[in-house]
Amino acid sequence: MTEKGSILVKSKLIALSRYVSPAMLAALGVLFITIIALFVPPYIGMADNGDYFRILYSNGLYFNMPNYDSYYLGYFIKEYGIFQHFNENGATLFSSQSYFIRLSIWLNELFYHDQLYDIRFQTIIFIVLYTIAIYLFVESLTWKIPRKYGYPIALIAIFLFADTAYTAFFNSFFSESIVWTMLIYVFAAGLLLYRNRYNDYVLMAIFFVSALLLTTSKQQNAPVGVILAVTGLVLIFVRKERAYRIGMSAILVALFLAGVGTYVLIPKEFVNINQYHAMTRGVLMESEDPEATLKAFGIDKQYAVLNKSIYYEPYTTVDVDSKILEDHFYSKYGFGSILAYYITNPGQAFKMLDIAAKHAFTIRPPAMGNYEKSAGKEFAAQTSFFSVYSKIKHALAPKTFGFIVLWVIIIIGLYMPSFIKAVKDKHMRHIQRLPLILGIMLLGLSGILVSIIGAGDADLSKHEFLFTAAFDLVTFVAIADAIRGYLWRSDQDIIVQ
Amino acid sequence: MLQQAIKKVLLLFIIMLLIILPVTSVPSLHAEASKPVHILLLYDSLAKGTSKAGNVEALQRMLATFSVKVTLQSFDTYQKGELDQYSQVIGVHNVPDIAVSNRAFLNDIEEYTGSYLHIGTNAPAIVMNKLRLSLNHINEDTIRLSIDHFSEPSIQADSLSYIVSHSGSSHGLIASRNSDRQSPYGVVGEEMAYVSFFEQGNLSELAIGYVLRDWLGWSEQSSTYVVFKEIYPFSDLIRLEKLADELYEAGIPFIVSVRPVFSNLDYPATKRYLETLKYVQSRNGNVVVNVPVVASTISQLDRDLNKSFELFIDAMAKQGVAPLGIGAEMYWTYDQHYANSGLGLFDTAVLFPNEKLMHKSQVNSSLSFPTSLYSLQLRFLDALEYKETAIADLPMNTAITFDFNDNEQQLVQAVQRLRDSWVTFADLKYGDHTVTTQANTIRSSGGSLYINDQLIDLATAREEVSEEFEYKPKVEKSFERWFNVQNKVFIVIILVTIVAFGGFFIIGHRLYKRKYFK
Repeated sequence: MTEKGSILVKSKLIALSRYVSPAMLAALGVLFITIIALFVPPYIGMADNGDYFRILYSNGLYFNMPNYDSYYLGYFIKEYGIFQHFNENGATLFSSQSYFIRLSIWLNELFYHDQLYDIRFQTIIFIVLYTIAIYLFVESLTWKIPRKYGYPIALIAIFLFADTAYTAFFNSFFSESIVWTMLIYVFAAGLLLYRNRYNDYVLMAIFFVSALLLTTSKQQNAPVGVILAVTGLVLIFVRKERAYRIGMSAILVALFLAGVGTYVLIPKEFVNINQYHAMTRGVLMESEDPEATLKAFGIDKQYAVLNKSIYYEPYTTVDVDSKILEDHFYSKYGFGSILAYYITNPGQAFKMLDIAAKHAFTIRPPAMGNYEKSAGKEFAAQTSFFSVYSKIKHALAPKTFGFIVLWVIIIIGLYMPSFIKAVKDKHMRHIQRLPLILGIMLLGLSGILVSIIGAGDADLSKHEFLFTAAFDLVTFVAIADAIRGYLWRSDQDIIVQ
Repeated sequence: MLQQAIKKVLLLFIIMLLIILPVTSVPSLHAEASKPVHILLLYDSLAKGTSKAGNVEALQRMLATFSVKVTLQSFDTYQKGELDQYSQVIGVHNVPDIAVSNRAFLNDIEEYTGSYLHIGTNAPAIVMNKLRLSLNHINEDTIRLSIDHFSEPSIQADSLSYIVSHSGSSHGLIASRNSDRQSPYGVVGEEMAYVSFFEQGNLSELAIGYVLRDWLGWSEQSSTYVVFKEIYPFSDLIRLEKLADELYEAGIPFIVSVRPVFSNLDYPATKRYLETLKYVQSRNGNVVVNVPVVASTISQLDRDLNKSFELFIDAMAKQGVAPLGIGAEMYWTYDQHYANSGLGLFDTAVLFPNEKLMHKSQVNSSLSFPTSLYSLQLRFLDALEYKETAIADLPMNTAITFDFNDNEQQLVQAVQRLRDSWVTFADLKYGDHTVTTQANTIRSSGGSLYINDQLIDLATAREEVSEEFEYKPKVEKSFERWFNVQNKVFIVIILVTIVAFGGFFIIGHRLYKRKYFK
């Protein structure tokens, strides 16, 4: 670039930065693209895979579309009915998702209709939250850094965060929308604390609320509360005030308990499907001798006939919710015993992890269509609007567990020098960056482990959403830190210099 | 000469005729025999939430037992001229206050020349006239119902018509417990028949069988069988064998309706299951294939049910097990998908009451089977008063059905009851039953079982199932030796490098020390 050209770019950047900070640019860019994707026809959303029923009916909504069944997996539906009479489907689900749905129903009734529900009222809530989340997240990485670094980071953020593989979840009743948004809030709050941007108490509140919503959004996220409670311990020492320390300690205890609570409160009927797969598509599937494996769990070896079978088979030998399985199969194993089995059979565990890794880089589950039937697209057609990132990721990521391990090691290695320096300096605010990143990576890994232990290889790409999300956020932070040159060293060091 | 020639031609003609006749006439006879009677079953309401709920379904199941093809339709959807398509029609009227308002039906029934059976209230005038019926309608009564050797002392009946006078033959007896009113349970005339009271779950469920048998002119001998269902590959197979032994010793033939296995057919676990069934078969047990569970989850998987059934049946046949029919909830016969894929392989069915409807392609016309058994639980009979041997004399083919479930004690008691009773239960394989897949034809006749016309020796010793099985096909490894050698080479190189590196490090450290600490 010539000197003249670079001066021109510089002057433009200065002019831009006066009005729009990189964080603002990223947030607005994502907002703009997401609105086009979700609110301009053909609307992009996600088809029901059968999971909607419980969350919808328990929150006072119902399928008002005639022959709803024929839309399953194929087409996105944006309108539902609101129960006018007493709803006998009491809250069967313990999920933070209910709050978002209830709020959107209230908005819907206020502004639109009291019998017809338009899912886009929920979408609006998510988009607003998402835009703020991205602003905070990018701000934590671009605050007070040279513009020539800030704007490229903002552009990368738009490329990643506006990807419709992520944002299409906002037009659905899948809890992934909450997982994604709240994970960004948790990470952003942690990074902002590290950079000492904004009021610590406000950030503490954001961290707590988002971590709590994340933990309780899905049964599978029970470990989230526990992991964040442990890796967040450093946060207690960021400030010396008693009030802060007590507050932060209370928050971590609360998160820990929320994690345990989410695990305990999993409704039984929900577990069957996953528990079935955990054995037939997990433990048994990779076993050299399924009969011996069954014996190890105290199950009759005849159950070997169920090896590799899936819950979704249209015709099965036994009703997957039947008493015979309840008494002689499901009751013999659980999360703990399967975990113990994998620990004692590491060979099988690694095979499962490799299988899991094959799906760990897919953001958009392949089974569900994105369009409404009226859009005239074929059954289960998926959009390619603004999905370059997700497509590249799906196509190019090395899909082995070894790669995931390597990724973890590299990230830890990159942030280790600054961590060691901070420990030597006893600089608590700086110490917490690595545990935070480690925490997010552990959340991702827990997503993989919970999927395998909890449901074998079934529905992996949907179950592993937490990993794919964590992978993207951590990798994005690492790239941003590399661009702005703060990988090895903590931020304040430069300011001191 | 001419006469001789004519004689020769005539002889030739007669011989040819003799050859041709059986060839042409036999199939037509078969065609005639295999075409079931087609009945139109009309109802006003399924009466859900009332005591009459389920009676239409029970009637459908009962009709299936008489190998009748049924088309089910409500009076409201009846269209002009439909009656003429059927030689026999049944009308069920469950709601006494609301008369049939469909003009087309009301007109057509007055002109109808076929045979009509009316059940319940609001009988059409033609039935009243032709049967010379005089009815006394009572809104509520407690009755004693008796038919043949059975009676039920106390049935609470809502809206009941006592038959005061009638022509034609009568069946059963209804006697009021509150007054001296009495009435036949049902009457069958030449063209018309009438039953005043029909509910599911009490004796009237059985009683209708007597009326239907007469009305349909069903002359075949009926039998009573013992059926055990809920048998899975992972049921307690040893207990199943023990049960077979006990029944064998007591001289009671029985049927097991076994859950099919559609995958992992080569597993030792499946083989052990089939070996157990073979053993059961050798102990006077007959095997029918139970239909699979239809999943309630949404599924994209397109599975060929027919092929799945064939695979399982062929696996059974390979192991020497001869299934003779199918066990299914009744609704399976009212589904185009199931009728086309799966049920078509069988000519014999044990029809269980519907538990959970899981239709794929529901239709209102049923698939009928040449032999069909009416499933009945023993506890149903417990509410009745009857002479034990009467169980063997029911008007239709009946299957006294037990769940082979976990409640061992309950089953032991039931079997004890069967053993203690004097009832002669029938052995399915004495009838003609055929199961046909592309690879195998399995049939029974006169107490023998045949697979592809080969008589099965029921006394064959059981084969031990080997536990050795390769569950995971070994991945073929190429260049395995080469890689082994390569591994070793690399290990050596790496070890040497580490040692060299260590050496350099120590040398470097000493040089460093010497340079600065002098």
